[in-house]
Amino acid sequence: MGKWITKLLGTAILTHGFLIWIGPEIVMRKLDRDLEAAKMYVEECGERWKNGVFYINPSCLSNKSSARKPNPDFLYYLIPYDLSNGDLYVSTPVPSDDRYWSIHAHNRNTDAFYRISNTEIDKDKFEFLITRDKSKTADIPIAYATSKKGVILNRLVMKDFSEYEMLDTFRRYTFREYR
Amino acid sequence: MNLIGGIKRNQWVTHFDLSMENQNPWLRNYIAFIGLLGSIRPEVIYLETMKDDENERLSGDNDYILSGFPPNSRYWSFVIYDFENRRIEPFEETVANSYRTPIQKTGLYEIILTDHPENYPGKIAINHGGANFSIIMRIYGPNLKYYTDKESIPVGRIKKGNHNG
Repeated sequence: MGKWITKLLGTAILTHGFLIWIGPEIVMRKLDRDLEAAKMYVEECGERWKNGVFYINPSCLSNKSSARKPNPDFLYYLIPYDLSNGDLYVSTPVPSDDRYWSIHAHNRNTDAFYRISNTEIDKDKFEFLITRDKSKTADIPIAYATSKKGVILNRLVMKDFSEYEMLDTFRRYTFREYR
Repeated sequence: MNLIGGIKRNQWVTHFDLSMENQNPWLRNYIAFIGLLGSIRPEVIYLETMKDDENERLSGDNDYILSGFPPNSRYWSFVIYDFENRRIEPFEETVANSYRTPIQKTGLYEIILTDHPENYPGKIAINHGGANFSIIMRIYGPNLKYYTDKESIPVGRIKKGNHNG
């Protein structure tokens, strides 16, 4: 009897662990596939991939399975990363007006381990480093990741849809490299 | 709903720990399927509802008046999605935000939810395109008091309207 209870309990714990792991993993794999597909140039969507950054065009979002409930007002860009290539350095422009802008860095399990918004930055450019090395120091902010792979997500609000082209040009000054 | 927690304000539901490293693992799983990469505290509060003030599901057959006091925040918006969490087209007409929504002398905003925005000239309207829908209210850069006193979050009222504008 005791054996069966132990087995049942063990199965329940394993199932629980599997189920809470599987959801984020499934959707991150979907995101990987969507990002891979977006590398192909489609005229109506413009150049979405540039130097490791995926610039999301709101008009081309609707049939992407990983893009759930995006805010139509936002311009998003994504930087998928794999820290087995080194630490990731990112430099990105910051709007000087009152419009909302933020950066979030997400682990592979979708948790955000770093965030910052433009109210906390007094320059027109923000540079930071993502690393798994807890002993790492630098003269720019460091975000310590707990998984090798992850994604950086930028949100930039359009006060009006007519701002799209201007803001799209603006965000494309983003640069990233492994160091 | 019990597995993932949730804080209720009238018919609206929010999760303050969304996307945070210490969040409920079932909430993480749930959000992965409906929203993927959420923003986190203190950056945002997301509130969602599928029901009007009479506790009836939001139907594409009806027009509604969404009204309330604007939250104390950097930016807020209302966006509608279909019941499968997909965007409704044309997406540009599915959003009303703090930059484009006028505040009346009473201090209230008033937004019409309809599939006939042309019936409401001069009003701010969201076009539900005849689809059944849910609404997400996003409060970016919220007053931090909202996290400790949920009753202070000024959520919107949703009442059935009519086609007369």
